[in-house]
Amino acid sequence: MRLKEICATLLLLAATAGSVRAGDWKHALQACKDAAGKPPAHKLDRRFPWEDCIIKLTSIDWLSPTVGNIAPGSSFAPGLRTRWQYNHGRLESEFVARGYYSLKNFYFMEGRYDAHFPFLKNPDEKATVSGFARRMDLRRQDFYGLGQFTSPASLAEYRHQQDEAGIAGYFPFTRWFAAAGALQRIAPAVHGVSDNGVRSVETVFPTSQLPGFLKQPTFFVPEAQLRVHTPFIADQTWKFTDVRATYDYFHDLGAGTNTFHKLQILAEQPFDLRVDIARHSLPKRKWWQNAICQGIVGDQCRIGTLVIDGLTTMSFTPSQNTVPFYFQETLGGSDIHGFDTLRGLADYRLRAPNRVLLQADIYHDIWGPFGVLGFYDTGRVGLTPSDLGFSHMRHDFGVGVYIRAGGNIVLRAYIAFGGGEGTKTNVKLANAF
Amino acid sequence: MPASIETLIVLMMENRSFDHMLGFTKSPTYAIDGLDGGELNHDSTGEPVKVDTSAAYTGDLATDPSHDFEDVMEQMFGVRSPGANQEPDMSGFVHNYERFTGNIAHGHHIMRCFDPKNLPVITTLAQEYAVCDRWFCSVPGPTLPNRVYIHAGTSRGRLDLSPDFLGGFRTIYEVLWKQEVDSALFYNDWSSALTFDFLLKHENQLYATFSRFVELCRRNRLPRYCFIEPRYNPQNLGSAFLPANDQHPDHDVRAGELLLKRVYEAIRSNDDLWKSCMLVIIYDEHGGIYDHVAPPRTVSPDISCPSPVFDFTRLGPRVPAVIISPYVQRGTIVHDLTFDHTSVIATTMKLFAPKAWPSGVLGQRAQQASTFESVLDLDMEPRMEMPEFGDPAALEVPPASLIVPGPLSSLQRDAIAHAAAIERQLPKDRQTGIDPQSIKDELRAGEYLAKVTDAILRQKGV
Repeated sequence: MRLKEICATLLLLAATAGSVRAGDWKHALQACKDAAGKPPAHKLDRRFPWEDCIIKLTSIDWLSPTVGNIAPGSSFAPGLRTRWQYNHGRLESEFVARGYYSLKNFYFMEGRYDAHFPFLKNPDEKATVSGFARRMDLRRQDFYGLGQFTSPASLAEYRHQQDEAGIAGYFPFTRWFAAAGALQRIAPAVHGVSDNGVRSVETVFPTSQLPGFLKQPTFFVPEAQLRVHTPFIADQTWKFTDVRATYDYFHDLGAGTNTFHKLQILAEQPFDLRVDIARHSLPKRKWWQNAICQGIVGDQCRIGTLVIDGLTTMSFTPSQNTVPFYFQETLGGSDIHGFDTLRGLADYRLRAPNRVLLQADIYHDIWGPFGVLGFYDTGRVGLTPSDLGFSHMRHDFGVGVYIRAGGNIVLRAYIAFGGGEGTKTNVKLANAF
Repeated sequence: MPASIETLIVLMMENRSFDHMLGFTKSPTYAIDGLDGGELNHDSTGEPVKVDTSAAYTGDLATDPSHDFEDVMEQMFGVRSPGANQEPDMSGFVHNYERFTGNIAHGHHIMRCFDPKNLPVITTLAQEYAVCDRWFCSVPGPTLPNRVYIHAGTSRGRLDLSPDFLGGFRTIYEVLWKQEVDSALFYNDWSSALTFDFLLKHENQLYATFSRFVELCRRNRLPRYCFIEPRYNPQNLGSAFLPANDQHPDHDVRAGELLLKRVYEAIRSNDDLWKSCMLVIIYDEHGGIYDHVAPPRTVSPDISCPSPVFDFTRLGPRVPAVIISPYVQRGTIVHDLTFDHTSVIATTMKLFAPKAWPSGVLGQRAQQASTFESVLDLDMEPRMEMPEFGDPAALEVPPASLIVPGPLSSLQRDAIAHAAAIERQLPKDRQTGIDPQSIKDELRAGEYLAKVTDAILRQKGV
């Protein structure tokens, strides 16, 4: 990433990606005024002053600037967002329209209506019913071939455009169980690229290794998801467990040769990392000791949070059918949804219909919104579900820094080692979608 | 070598008077200043209404007895505006509740007290350890001023619960911190001390949940001074309802009994902790419920009192107070010492920061308050026997009483106003999105207050 992009990223630091509620100009300007001057004597919210200012500026209801990452390779993407709320009793709804255009000419735009309402007396979460339409243009997407044993030298590019429209629902039946579903129409369009110095996929790979390249049908995609999770428990080392199983049926509305099923299981388990400290020593700790390890009630300090993630994706096709390469799962850098995968490899480095990934991340807040992270990744892809296993796993590890806004990590910069393909550095914003 | 007290734990419950909870434990062999059965008030028809042992766990006080300052004056003096030299005769409880409920028969409920066998936990703890029968609430008024007294030693002349109690007070936690003594406030759903500046500045080091308290007891890692707040509101956890366990009328008293038992058992889960700690169970104020002992005069905590109606030189009615430690003789009755909530401050400072005490830093009243460490005999062998609380099933709160949430009590209404004032100071993305005006029942109140507490205290997720 170039210096100007990094500077622009830090300047805008507003990758809220819909994670914050609305503000208005008055509150935003007051927050910026507070940040520039002396904060109010009695301030309940101890958010980092400039963080508050930027979040409020970027979440103004009727029109606000925003910034995000559209997809790997997009570079950072400034954009605009408008948001309109309609509340009636306990029904809260909002319409959000946003658009991003990246420094590398990717774009993404979305209109979305979400209605939230109480469901079965669940106090933690509301049910949500949504309608949405999206269009995106991913100008250059990396492709190294299919399977676990491709070479970095085979890098080629393609362009991925896609329109999506559909409805979705999320229903938290209890504090620990939810079901979700969606019906989508997805219309992809994939082309080679003709930019100077870039190899287009069809010039490197035969079409037999590019399933779905010659013609892209429209897909009708019903999706069902079951989610089992424990409630967040403050003060305990075992924060929560979250497991989501998602099934998608990609129904090819054309010739039917690209119809496939996809099953994905994602599990997340964060732990508080704590160590005991000298008894009754909390008031004696210096600020720098708390920066390293934050003292908490009970003669312990918190080093940070360890998050263990596990992800498995399996695709199944009727005989003779293929999974289009542009819908196949990837490992390396981030995937198309912004999910960190094997960070010691380039974005999209490994691609196949099936993948397995295990990760351990440690996050340590240092000061205000700033923190440091360390990670270990291991995973592999497989051309068939039976390929998935623990042989030929790729591994990497690394360290980095992050910035939070509104409690969410919006910017990560890291250096990763051990992937066997050189050291990888990356600066990533939260994804726009 | 005498033992020493390393940890003082205070559990403050809600709105019950001494006589209501413990008055009928009096007997020839247990000579507390309790009830003989002849104590009475008169209703508006002149009919005498005597105390009795008919108090029910819930239902008697469905209309929350008023305990605002003027009402407590009426309860204590028989008139709402007593003369300057008038002494309280505790004659106005029935009148006050009758007027408040608009029903003569209902007014009689304020004299109902518990049969000791119906309160096995607090009765057992009182009789096994020490009961203080002259512990008075600090202010003849409602919850928040009384709770502020235990944290800060003064309410700065305030008698009400208005939400402008935000910040500014110096508290025992801050004073201890500066003396390098650790302390903590353990909460369930809501904390009435949520807005003290110093506590918020050090929230990681001073606030924790009640479940953390239980865990720290097991590992004997409690801070030196611990203050526990009960669950003030019922909570719907989706798959389960948790009853309010603060014992505020008309919450089921059994849930509070179970809380007392849980706290006691948590402390007993680690012998080292038990041998070095003292647990004090007190109630914030009498809640408008009858007590027969006239509160004495005291000193104002403030050099100049800003209140035009009250000079804070009179304590409020008695509240139950039980001191539990392995160094307390069975059946101890502390009658010669008069306590109020500032006694907790004075005792804590005397135990853990003796070089900085006495001091007027937390008000004049705390500086001269009686302390209760003398109740303990640190030379005796620690008592390790476990008392029997009877059949635990008898204390289970029937589910039916939880599912139908009650109307808002005055405390809940004021807590909502308090929370709303706090919430308005938060950025919009951390606000609950709940309109406080729309909250009409206590289940919804519990949801709202817990969410505001979370918005302020809960750690950031990843």
